[in-house]
Amino acid sequence: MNISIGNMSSTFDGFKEIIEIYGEISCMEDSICEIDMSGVNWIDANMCAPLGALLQISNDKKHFRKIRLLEMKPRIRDILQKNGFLPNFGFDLDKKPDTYGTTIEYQRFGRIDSQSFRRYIERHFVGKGLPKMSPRLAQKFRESISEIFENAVDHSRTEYGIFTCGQYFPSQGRLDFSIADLGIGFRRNIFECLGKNFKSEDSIEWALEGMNTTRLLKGGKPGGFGLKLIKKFIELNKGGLQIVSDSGFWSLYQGKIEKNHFESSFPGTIVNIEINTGDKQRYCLESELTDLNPEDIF
Amino acid sequence: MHNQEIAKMKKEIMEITLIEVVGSDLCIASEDGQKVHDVIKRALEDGKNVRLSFKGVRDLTSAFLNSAIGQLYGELPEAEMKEKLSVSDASNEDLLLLKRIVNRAKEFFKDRERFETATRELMGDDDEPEN
Repeated sequence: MNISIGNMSSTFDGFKEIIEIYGEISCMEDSICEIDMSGVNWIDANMCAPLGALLQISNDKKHFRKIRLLEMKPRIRDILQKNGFLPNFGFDLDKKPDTYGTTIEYQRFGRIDSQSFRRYIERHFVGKGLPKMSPRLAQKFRESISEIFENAVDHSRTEYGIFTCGQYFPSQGRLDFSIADLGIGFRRNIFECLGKNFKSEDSIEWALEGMNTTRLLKGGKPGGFGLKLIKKFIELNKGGLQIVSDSGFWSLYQGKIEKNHFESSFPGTIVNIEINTGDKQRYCLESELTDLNPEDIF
Repeated sequence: MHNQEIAKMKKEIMEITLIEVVGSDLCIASEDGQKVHDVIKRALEDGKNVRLSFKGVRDLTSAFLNSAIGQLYGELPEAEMKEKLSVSDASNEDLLLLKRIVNRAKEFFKDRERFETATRELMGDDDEPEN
């Protein structure tokens, strides 16, 4: 069966493309899946995280027995070889060296791999000259993406693992990093914990607001803070945050929030964080710091 | 000095160093936070005061702190936490995150039932998701 795909940026249209690919593959049964990539002129390499996740679940569910990528432009092939995506899926292509130090390689992690994930972040963000962040921003960024990872582990209940990939775009002054899981998504999580049926995009919005969390009702631990911290960080950084869960899309970009709805669903959640790498500001308000007294924490 | 204050001073203080319990300077995973929680809880139940040392902590997340400390507010009285827990060697940013987690946990557990009811009311009806 042949599927034609188009460009994939970290935007509503890019995620829609991913969802449509999944829609077509999930109709297959033990097929030979041929993906026509002649229409792909651009792919944000971080989109390999959700792409890898959907190929993984499709493979595990035996929607295809073989997959071929056809008519791939050399530039696109280069990107997917450098970040290890193609070698990872057995496309019989070697990993290419990351000459410019701009690649954050495609990886799949297990639920208990927090430490390996952190080492992966360390490996890809330290000593490669990318990006030009202040030490404070780099620290905040590492902690933020650990928050996203832990959030995926805690909320998705996925058994398939967690898929990650990123790319530094020096000329655009941005670094995009995506984390995808194949878990139950925001909407079902909220329904199961709180008995409420939101639209998918509203469930994402709900999870990002105020005191909202499903954690209290699940395990007696307070929670629901990780994504809110990231949102706050992104607001200060003037970067971007896109979340896709089931059929919902929620985006924060340079201070502006957008919600949208896909016709079909992604079988889990994708969180994409976009860092404005030119940002030099401090990440705590002085007033917050000076008000703190170690004797008055508990 | 008041007798009660003298008694408090004499109470044994157990120092719990986060990176020793976790076995790493990365205090990020919820399940590592659970290990710290278990150690703190045992010490408090044994009647000890606890000093949490953040010495050597490189990365810290809310997921870790919620597990390690936040959930204690659902298990022990707030007054006991205030009396028996202290913190050392924490950077300003670590303190800020810890303070946020503690404040949030206090709000949650102060009136859990009210929070649950308010949440359900806020969300209206309860149809099952289609997928």
